[in-house]
Amino acid sequence: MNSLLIDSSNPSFDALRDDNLKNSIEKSHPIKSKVISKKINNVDTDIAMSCFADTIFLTISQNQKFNTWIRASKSDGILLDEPSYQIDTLLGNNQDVLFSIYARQLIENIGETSNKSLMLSISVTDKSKDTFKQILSIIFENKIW
Amino acid sequence: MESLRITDDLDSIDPNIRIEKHIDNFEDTRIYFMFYIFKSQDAPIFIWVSDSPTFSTLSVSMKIPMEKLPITSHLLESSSINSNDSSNSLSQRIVIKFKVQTFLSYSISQDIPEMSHFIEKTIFDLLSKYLKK
Repeated sequence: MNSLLIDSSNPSFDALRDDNLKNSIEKSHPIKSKVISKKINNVDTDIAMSCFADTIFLTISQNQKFNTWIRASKSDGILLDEPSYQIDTLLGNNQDVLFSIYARQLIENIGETSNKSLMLSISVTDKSKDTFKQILSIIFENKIW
Repeated sequence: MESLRITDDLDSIDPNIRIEKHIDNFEDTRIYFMFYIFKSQDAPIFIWVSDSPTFSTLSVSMKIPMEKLPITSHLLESSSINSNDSSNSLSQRIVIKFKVQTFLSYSISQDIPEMSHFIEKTIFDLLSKYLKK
């Protein structure tokens, strides 16, 4: 059997050790996360998702900011069988209906399989319908809930 | 809503945001940390720290010209007043030291000064490392 000499002064050894540590933390950390970054209609778009026990935290950013924060939740309908949704803007622009529509589409999707709330931070510069559709597509194709 | 098309043909790019995670122990308590860090030096940061995997509080702190100390606003309040006080002072100190707008979700079930101090020191050490990259 060949002996394996590990040179601890080797920078690649440090990188390997850091990677191993990172993988170990990722496995034992209770919050599962994912980052997806795409160019949508020529605009860099970052989507980060984290899955908490009670909340799905989604960040959609096209300019490296968090900007508007919206909390959304689902509750059982009182009179009808249809569930009702509460959408609250915690910080930022509460006049732009587009952000509420993002939140509503997302909480409806989350609500199909869980009772978790949604915490959405959204900062989009391209407010076109096409970008809206593509961002939601990416999220639904890569969802972690 | 119309059906959404598959987005495999979109170009992937180098992410402008990364998520850093950390786990530490204070005596018998396991404390979890998570950081959202954008590439840009001036970009805001998000920090989550808790002893349980829930998202129950959120505050924002930032420096403004009219005030000496950064202002803090609670967007999602914890039922514990102590938790709010700890999170207030912590987020203000983060803004002063690192000079970035800070969103903080801080939820620790025990109010022990030594634990708060340990958490703050851990966050400062980690941010010093993460914000250099």
